[in-house]
Amino acid sequence: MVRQARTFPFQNCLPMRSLLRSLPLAALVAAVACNDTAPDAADTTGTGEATPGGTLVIASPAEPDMLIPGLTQSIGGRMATDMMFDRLAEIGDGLNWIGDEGFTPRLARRWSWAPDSLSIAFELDPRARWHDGTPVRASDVKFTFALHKDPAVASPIAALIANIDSVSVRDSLTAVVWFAKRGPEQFYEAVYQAPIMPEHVYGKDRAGIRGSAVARNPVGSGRFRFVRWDAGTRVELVSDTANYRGRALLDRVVWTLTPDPTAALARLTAGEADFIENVPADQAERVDAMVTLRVFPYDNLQYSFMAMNLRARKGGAAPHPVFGDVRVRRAMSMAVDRNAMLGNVFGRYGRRSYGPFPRGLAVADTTLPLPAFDTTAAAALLDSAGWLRGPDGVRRKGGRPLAFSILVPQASKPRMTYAVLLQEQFKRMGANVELETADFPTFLAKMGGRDFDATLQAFSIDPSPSGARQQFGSEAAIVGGSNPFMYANPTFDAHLDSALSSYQPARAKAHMRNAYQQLIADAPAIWLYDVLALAGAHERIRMASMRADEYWAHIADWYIPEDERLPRDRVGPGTAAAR
Amino acid sequence: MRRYLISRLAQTLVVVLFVTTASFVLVHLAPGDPFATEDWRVSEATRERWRAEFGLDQPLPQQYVRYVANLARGNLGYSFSHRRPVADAIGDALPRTLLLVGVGGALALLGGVALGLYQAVRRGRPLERAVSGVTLVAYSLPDFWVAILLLLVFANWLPVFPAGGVVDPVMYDYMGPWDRLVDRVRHLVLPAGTLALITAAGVARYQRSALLEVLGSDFLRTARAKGVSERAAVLRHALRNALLPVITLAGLLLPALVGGAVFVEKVFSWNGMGLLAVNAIASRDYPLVTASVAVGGIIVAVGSLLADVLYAVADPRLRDG
Repeated sequence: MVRQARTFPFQNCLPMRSLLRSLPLAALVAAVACNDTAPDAADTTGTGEATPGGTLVIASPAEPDMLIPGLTQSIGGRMATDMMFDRLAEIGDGLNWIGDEGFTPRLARRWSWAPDSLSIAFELDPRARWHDGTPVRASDVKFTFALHKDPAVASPIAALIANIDSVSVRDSLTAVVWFAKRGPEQFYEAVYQAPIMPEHVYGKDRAGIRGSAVARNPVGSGRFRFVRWDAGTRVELVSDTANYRGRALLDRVVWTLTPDPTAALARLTAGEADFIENVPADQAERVDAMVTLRVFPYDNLQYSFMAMNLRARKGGAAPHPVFGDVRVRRAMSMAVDRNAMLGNVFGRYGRRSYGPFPRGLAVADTTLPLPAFDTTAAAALLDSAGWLRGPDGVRRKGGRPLAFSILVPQASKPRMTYAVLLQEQFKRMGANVELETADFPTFLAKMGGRDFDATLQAFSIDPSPSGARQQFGSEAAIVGGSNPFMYANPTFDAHLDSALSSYQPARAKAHMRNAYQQLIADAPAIWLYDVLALAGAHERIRMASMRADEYWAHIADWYIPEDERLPRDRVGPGTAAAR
Repeated sequence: MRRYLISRLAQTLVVVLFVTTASFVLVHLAPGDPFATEDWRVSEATRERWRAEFGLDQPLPQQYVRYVANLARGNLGYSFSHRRPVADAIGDALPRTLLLVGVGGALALLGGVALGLYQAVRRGRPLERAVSGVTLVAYSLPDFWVAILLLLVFANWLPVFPAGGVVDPVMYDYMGPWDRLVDRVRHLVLPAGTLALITAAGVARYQRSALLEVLGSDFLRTARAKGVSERAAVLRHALRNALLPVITLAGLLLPALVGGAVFVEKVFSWNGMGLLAVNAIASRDYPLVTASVAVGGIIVAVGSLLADVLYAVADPRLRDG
């Protein structure tokens, strides 16, 4: 459907002049309010061709912590560095992580496996240059992995590349990555986690790299290069016009940092921004009704669930008095109407969960049966577990009431709403439920100390399902481990191991199905929803596909047709005017 | 006056030291860890290394002694969340807050005094009653609510002002000097207007009440009997006397303005001290929280000192005696 362009009645705000005429400061206010850089109305009569140019303005709440790939932990930092730094090869939109199927060349124009599969030789593209003009060399590949494996750097991805034993330089354009053991994820490990960094820029002070000047002035090899980062205000990248992969179609990408979601949305609707990655669900219909904007959900790798602590609070080894019993956990799963909650919180944009995975994951299986909403069966299950209703409606077992709290981060509006809805439904089942809200650091501290009964979680995962080992695996169910729910089942571990050692995607998916099925049967959590990723964009922005792990992966191929460009598209260091 | 000023400065120093110590202790005792993360890839060992890198593995008294020693050398520390010196982060944010609070406060005082004057002189008339009602409503409204309302009305429904930021992040660098000035003013209108609106109402109520008290005074009756016009009696004699409580209020207003700026800065993406402090608290950035509190304390103390000086200037009895 083609939408007609529309001019806002107050687009250039002249009508305000008559309103202000009677006020003493009318002239000044009118001059101030009506600047000559107000965006023009979009013209959809153009050809819509993909010619280079234009500025994409993203209103984003996420300020980078630093701009070093692999070390940055903020989403803002990841976005910017992924656009400025190339990997050896890029994962495909299908997010296959087994072998090298679906991966496309980036800095490496080709690669070859050793006969024993314990090394891969990456042949670099001789045209590749760092943004300061220095050629990309195999020694840079060696440096990058050495940096992340250096204990003094304490890189967050160190554990993810632990299977990489070393990198050697065969010649200036050939880097050989050596692995400690064979496995289906070898290629993924070598290329996905660590974009390649220039040694001559980042090699001077490894231990102090986070606080160094280069942490805020990156030099990469991607199709965008760094221009500026004004703390708290904006981050600006510009197309690298001499890039070995060809210039980005956009001239500039500017993130205007907008911490408040209402203000971010106001920037989009006022035409100050072209894109926001998260339109609040309760505003989506209103925004979508605006003819110059559109709202659309996109896949991501986040999913949300209510996890139950299987052991006593605060690190105890004893089973949790309520959730230690699998019958209670299953009853709780059956007691909640997940579809109704989804509608209540997200309206028509909600995406229900199909299990312990987001639907964008390659091994996602949307046919797995989840516990059906059945309050009668749930009540019977609680009765059979010995939790019987007392005269006040609250269930008791051995004099102990069926009482627990749900820990929820107050900054997350969907999770806060879900917590209230869950509380209500559990109460109907005879459970006395309290909500335990906390600011984010306190929430994390309580998680780390296992100081919770139940908690609403939103997990963000990588394309490989190996993250399930850290999240639900027995080995991580230790004090200070990454599985604070203390779920442990050797059968689940075995299925997961089988999946992660399979070289055939179909077999890996079948094993993962078994693992997920076991997890669902053990019910350590209630699988609630796939985290809603609802983007809002101006219609003049023509977008390429949005990859589930990084929606920004193809931004270099987004474009703005020439006849739909605004004044802001015609200025900047990367524009035709500047050249 | 000189001795008085020195004594007040010494008091200010003690207050700032106390506030800094209290905030240092409180923020360290608050649950949470600056390096806690939902990122399952980050192991406990990695987090421990990060904590050690910033000396957070040391006992709290040791950390405090080191902090004070650094402070004495003018080193405010290193921000965990911004990954740069605290002084740099504050150096960026403080001028923006001073501009916002300065303009908002000045507008609030001027507008509040003018409104209070009007209300006192036109007491009991229908329009005055309406103005009183409006100021009461404005006085009662929460800061963030007013900010969001103005944002929605003037940046969204009637897009006459920008939705946020200090300047246009995309076009500012490519504007001429006049356009830059206009751009800065446009971005200042809504946040400073919000601060002014919520504060002017309070000032107006104080001013009205003080003027009503003065308008019935003997000295004004005498002035009128000597043939001084009503306009001159009110503006030259009554207003000057009635300004004293408002000057006191102006001193107390500064903490309120700084507090109000926290919400206003968040809503309008105005990257000042308020936003910096809120984000620092949310990320448990201990050095930045402590330094932000110290800076806030200094602003409030200076404001209070300024009010005392102005009071002495306005009231000859205090100045001379």
